[in-house]
Amino acid sequence: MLEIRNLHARVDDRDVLKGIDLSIGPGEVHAIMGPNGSGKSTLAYVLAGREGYEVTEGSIRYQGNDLLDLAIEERAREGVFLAFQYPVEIPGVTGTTFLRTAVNALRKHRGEKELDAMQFVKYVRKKQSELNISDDMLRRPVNVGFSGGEKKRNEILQMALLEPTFAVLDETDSGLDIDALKTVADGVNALRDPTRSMLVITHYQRLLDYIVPDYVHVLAGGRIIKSGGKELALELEKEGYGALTGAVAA
Amino acid sequence: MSRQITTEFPFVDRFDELSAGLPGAGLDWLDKIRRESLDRFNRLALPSTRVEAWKYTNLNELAKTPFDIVGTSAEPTSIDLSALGVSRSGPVHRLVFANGSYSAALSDAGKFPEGIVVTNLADALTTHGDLVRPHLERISALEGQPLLALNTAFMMNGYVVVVDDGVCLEDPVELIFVSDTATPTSVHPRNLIVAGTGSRIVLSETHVGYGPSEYWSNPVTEVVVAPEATVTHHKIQQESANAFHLANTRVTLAGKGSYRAFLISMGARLARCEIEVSLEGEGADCQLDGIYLARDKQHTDITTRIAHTSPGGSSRQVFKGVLDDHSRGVFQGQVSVSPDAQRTEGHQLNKTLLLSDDAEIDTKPELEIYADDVKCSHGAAVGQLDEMELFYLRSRGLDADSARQVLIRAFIAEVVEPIEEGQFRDHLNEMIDAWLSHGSVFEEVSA
Repeated sequence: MLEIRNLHARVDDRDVLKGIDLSIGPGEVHAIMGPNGSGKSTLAYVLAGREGYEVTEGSIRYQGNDLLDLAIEERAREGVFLAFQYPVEIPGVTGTTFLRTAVNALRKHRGEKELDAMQFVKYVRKKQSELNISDDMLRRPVNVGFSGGEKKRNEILQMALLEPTFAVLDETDSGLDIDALKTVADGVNALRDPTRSMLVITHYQRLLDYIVPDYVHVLAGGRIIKSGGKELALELEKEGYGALTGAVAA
Repeated sequence: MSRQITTEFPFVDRFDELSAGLPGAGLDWLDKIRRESLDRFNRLALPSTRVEAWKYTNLNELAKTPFDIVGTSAEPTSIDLSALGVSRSGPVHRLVFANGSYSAALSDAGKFPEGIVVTNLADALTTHGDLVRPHLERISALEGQPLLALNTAFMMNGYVVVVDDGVCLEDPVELIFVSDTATPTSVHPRNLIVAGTGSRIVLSETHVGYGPSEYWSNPVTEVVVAPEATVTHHKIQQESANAFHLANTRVTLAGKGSYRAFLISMGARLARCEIEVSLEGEGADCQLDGIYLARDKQHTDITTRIAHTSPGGSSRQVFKGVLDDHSRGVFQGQVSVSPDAQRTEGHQLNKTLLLSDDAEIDTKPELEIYADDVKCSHGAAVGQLDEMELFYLRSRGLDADSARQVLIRAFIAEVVEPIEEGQFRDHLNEMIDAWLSHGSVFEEVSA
């Protein structure tokens, strides 16, 4: 489904990713853990296609195609979704308008009929209640004045509506208390599907108690230095990153 | 460089010949103010950028164009007005002025309730001369206003709206000014709104142009608001790409009188909309909002002057602009508070979005406060589209153009959404959407 080969990437003239190899099969959930500055978020942005994140070497193949050839929106339309670590506030655009525009952009791409306002309300209502998202939240401008938990729930709602094939969750646990974390994790788990792969990026093992991965990779210094099953996360929690990287964990 | 730009407009030399065909010809008092104004214009000429109020708007190109005045009988044919009107339902009240003349054929005034006169200046001078005269005389005597003087000298048919005390009309009165000429032509419409005590009226004014030629629209509008009256005045400046639009609106408000204006300035190669509001009565209220959209090499200028001269008045202004390509915007907003105007509230905000590195905005807020018990504020901001917001939208499947449009719409929405008149708001949104998708309603009509 996703094949990353020898990926090198540069941000602001600084080499951040220094040769990443990663294969993710259909329906698999992979976790990437690593200390601050190891390149976790850079990998997320490179996958989504953010400008300024320059791939200098290597390749990413997604469903048999070269992902790096696709524009940001083309990746989204082909089913790549990034849940942002810091969801962006968009003043003046209401949640409903934003979600409907996004859903319709994808439906149009797939040759499906676009949803009108009434149809969209029906479509969103069910997923909305599962994630404990109030109508009021959707009436407000996107993410403006939202708490950390509201922003992350809003990301997962977008994921639920856009039904991606490959989702990257970038530090979805950061800034969440335990209740919010459970809500978000339940939302993610409800979306686990044999045809949907996920890459869960986190600094802490805690999230992986709730979203249990099939594989865990440790990223340090721009490379994957160790891979294993879900027990690797527990090992890291006990030993710290320092034991693996030979340096003091950040 | 001189403070004046001398001009050689052919029509100015033909005053004697032309004035015989202008509204009110033969009225001695009107003839007198026309001649005085002509002398004043000849003395003042056009202001150069050395004049502070014109520092950012250069009239050299206008001065070089050989503008004339066409015969009053020239009526445009085959103009489709259906896309220009604001009314979608309900009764239509529409006056159309084409190339400086009232077009009875294109107008549909409809039926007005008792106590409302909506007519053209030429007729008003005949039927309501005593009412019109003091207003025309008063502002025509103002010094230092060359464009006002030129308009007065050649004043052409515009609208006259008189609302009696206590009379209200909720349906908008549509006032459409059309230019369609084959040679460089100037028009100088003169408009007058007089709202009686406690009356209410909504006016929707549109300026458009067709035809291959350059033209110059130089309208002057006087608005007189009696105590507790409310005048709502929407204006759409959608002149053709060959046009110069220099408009001057002067408003006086009596006690608890209210003037609510919304301006969209999106047409013309060079546009300047000047609005001057004098809050003369206690507790008067004024709200001026608007948007300016420009691209290519368009120049768009909004200049407002709000004078608080009585206590307890309030004024609010929000102007937002979107500038693309090599366009240039100017916002000059002056708010003055006299020593007597205690308890004044005056707020002003100007925000501009620059879509291109070559676009430019000059924004100049000016507060002159001589009273001590006032609440006044002003703000100006210039920005670009946020890269992170664009990325976020695109990462959800919106293409780059759509993402830009969503963000520009959101920027403008703050000033458009509060508009209470739904039909006007819908019309405005359609025009904005057309502009964003690189067309304009006007181009679609003429195609």
